[in-house]
Amino acid sequence: MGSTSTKIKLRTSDQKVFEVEKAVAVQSQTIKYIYENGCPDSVIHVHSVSGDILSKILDYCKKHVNSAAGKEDISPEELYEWDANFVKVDQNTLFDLILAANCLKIESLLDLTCQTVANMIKGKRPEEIRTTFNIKNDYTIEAEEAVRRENKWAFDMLGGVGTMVIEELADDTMSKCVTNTKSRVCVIAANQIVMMRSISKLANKKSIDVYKQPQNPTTPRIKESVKQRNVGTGFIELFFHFKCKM
Amino acid sequence: MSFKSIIQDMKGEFGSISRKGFDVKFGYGMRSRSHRVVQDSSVPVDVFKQSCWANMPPELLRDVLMRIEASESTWPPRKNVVVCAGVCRNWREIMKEIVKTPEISCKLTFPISLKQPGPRDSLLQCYIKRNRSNQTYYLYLGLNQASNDDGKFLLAARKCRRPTCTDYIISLNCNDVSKGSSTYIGKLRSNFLGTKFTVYDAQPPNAGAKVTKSCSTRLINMKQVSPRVPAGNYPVAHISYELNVLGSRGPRRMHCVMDAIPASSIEPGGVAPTQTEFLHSNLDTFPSLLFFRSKSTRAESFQSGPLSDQKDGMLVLRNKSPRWHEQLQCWCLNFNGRVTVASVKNFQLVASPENAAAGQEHENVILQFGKVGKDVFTMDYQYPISAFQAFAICLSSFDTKIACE
Repeated sequence: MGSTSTKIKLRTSDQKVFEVEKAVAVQSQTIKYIYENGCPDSVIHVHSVSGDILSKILDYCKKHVNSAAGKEDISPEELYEWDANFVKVDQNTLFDLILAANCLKIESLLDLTCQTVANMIKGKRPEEIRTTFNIKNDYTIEAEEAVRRENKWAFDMLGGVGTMVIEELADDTMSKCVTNTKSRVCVIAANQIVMMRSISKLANKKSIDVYKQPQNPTTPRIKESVKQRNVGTGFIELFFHFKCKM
Repeated sequence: MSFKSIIQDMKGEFGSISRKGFDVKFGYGMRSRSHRVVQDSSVPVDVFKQSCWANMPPELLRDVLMRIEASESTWPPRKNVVVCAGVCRNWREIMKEIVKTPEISCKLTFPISLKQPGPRDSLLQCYIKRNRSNQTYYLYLGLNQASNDDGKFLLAARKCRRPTCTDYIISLNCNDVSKGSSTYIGKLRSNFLGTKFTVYDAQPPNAGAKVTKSCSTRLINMKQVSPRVPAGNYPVAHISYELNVLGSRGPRRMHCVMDAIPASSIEPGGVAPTQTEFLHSNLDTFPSLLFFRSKSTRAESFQSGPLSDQKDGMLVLRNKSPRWHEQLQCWCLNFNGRVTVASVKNFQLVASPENAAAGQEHENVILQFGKVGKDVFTMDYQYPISAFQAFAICLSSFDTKIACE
């Protein structure tokens, strides 16, 4: 009896049974190994994966198998997009997907999910990472200070490229150094004016991104008036008044 | 608390640490004693909610961190690697394992990279900017071959003139360059005449060196917040300038003795001492550990062999002799395009056997320094010296009074 497509049965941790095509199931190296070395007719138990997660994983495997086999008309860019949407899930699901991909040994899915987590981490500060992943800060007080110094150093760049955290703005200090309007202030990094913001906007933000080129189109004009008024060094002192906290 | 009971308590601690791959070189953390768990006050922690990420298998966490390290290889994105190391101790251990020293990876990552030998076989290109108004010099890692306007800040040095000598204080913080600061790394001291200089490191060049008395206080008063180990002054290099045989009509001669680097380091198979962490940071090493450090650990931290032998075997660097260019009527050195303005400050240092005759020197340029603009200088260095040592040596070139016509 020859069937055109062999099916494999998979039973999950919550006793759900999935019947899938062999080509899809053997995307998992673990299942492939069991199938080729165990009993091909009986059900394969995937103990550590729940029904919901396995269902998602099988969707992924099916999509990739079909696209590789040409059964589905999907370009590489579209597949990439599909993958990107696939991992737009809540954290718990993402975590479960990683564990399952690891245990089932589906390399491309493990790649995808680990890269997603890496992307979630990039660009964040340590406190934000701890909050996102609910990680306990187990540093001593002194070690935490050292971490702060290390991070401060890591963020120091020439040309003002980077991110500066603003804390405890002293309004009266700022207003002494402003230019034409009392409510605006220039932020200086590396002796270049990089942007202008109103004090209230700065006070509400936790951090600002500092760019090499001024973001505000009026800034070049202000820069000129700053030069004329000879308040250049005043601004630089202002920069040091910011309590740059990591 | 008696000495014996401290040891027994520590043994108990070791027993409970079952994590795979616990690496001795990171020190024995007295985890449940002197540390205090700091909770992020912004997030109310639900005690019943077990974070799933806390149960992430170590190999997967490692995979994620390795991806970050591999993709963020240049600055400014490389700061993400430093950020990850600051999340918690577990992440720090993993990240520190993944990140290789500049000698191997040719990349600077953590501040301690500045105290580690540079890459072998390739020069790390940096530049120095001088700010005359506040007598400060800033060292940057060059990011862009074409311009010296993009750089990663590395170190800052400020000149302090004293009655009998001049000091250059070197710090990790561009805003706070003072000896009392926690970011103080070391200094360069010149003699009155500006002919002899000594480079001092704030911490011992080899982790196995003797520590000061204050560390034993730390061990006994474990419940208190430990006092910071005071910055020491460990000489790591001696630089001297002389007029050459032509007097002031020829380029001056530089002679650098690197106390902390053995001459064998530049030979095939040689190693140079590599610091792994700042001692005063408490991040990875616990200085009181030196109380208990076993022989095997000491051997690990001593990466170079016969350093205990005194004067013999220290690496000596001399400046490469320029050639007189008859047509241009000046002294010339090949800086490979990295130096564009003639200046008496420009130099190239090569290793030189102590007793060698003049002219018998190695070809490999270990440190190169030269002017490219009004207050901009390039500095290229490689193994076996570190960025800190290279910076200090270059600063001496600014200060020395030996000039030539």
